[in-house]
Amino acid sequence: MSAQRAHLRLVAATTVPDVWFCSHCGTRATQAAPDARVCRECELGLLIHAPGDLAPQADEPFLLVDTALKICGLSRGAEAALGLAEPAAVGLPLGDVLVTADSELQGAGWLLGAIGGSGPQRLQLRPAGIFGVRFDARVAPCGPALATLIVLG
Amino acid sequence: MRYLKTSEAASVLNVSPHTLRAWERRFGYPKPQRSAGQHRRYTHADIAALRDALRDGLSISSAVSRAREALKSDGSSLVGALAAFETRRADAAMEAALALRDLDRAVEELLLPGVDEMLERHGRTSAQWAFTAAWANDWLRRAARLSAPPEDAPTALIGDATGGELDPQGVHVQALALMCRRAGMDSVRLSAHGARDLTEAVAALRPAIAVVAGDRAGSETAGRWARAVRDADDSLPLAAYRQSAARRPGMSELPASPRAAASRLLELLAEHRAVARKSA
Repeated sequence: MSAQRAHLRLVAATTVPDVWFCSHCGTRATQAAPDARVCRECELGLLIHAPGDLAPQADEPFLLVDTALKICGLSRGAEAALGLAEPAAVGLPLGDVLVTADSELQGAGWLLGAIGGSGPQRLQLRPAGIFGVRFDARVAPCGPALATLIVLG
Repeated sequence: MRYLKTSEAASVLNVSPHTLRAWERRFGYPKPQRSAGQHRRYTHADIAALRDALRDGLSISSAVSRAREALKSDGSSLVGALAAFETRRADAAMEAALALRDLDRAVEELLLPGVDEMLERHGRTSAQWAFTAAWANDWLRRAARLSAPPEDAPTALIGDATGGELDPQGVHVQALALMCRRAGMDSVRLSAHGARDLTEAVAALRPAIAVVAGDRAGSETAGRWARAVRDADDSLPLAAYRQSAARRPGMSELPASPRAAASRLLELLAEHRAVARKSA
């Protein structure tokens, strides 16, 4: 086989395993697949999972968005960062709360692109109606039900 | 209607009783009723709806939202049945609601809002409204017959000043009569047009309290009936229910909710008896 010919070669898998963490306080579960859904630390969140490299680190605010692009969860940190209580935020369209700081991306379609992999998984966001505040956000799929995690770095 | 103690409800949800109370504070759900001894008791339906929603939920807030929606979804079945003039389906919608909540809540959360929605959609002069009013009044009367108060229950004399069978106020007054029975009070409903010889009626019925309900029959009619009650027994406490006219002196105004109004009647009765004992 000459060096100029294309060939296949085996490469190591690069998938990062999922981690479980609380939808409210962000505390990571100690078990790989926890048996109880309610977080034992804060009792106000459910344990959810996301890829380990994109899941929130300690104190990083984050929110969860369902397939209808409506907010279905808000961490304690995101409540403080956005000035919004979770019970009031659930059900709101994402675009009412967060928008991209990139004027080229309109509506909440930026999120669809980020999830589908055709758009950036890391992008700049700002609170809707507020200028001068920016978040370095990263987007990831999360579960158990199909949803999207947005971590506000 | 099946009820769970706090420990039982917590066990179903696989959380601690402390967690359950924390959820009630933060999310307003599940909202317990109180037993006679002031202990929390949860309806099985509320807990089961939340348990199911938590299975696939991503946050407790979203699970609470889904549980509430699941309990509310029977509302559209009732309105659909009434709009289609289907008595049996409307009865079945109420039966289904009674499987998830007690009678008081079924009336306040399903029947009365359903009736209001039909009125708003179709208007007072429609056949749909005529059907709805007839069905609702009949359902409430049947429920009242099944809610016999105790033998020595006090009686509330209700002067019906509504505008007849098609008057929306009439359904609420019928609901009040049902809630009085559920609260342990008997009720007798007399048309406010019949104010003559009310003294004889009061002497025979010996009510503990009187209520002027509605005003579509005209504020003159309602006022005349109230005066006739005063003439028959000026010590009888008098209350007003669903009266849009200015408050009459010496009459206590009842809340619009039939269940709250029945509770308030019992409070007024207790206050009146306490005053009577002091002056005796």
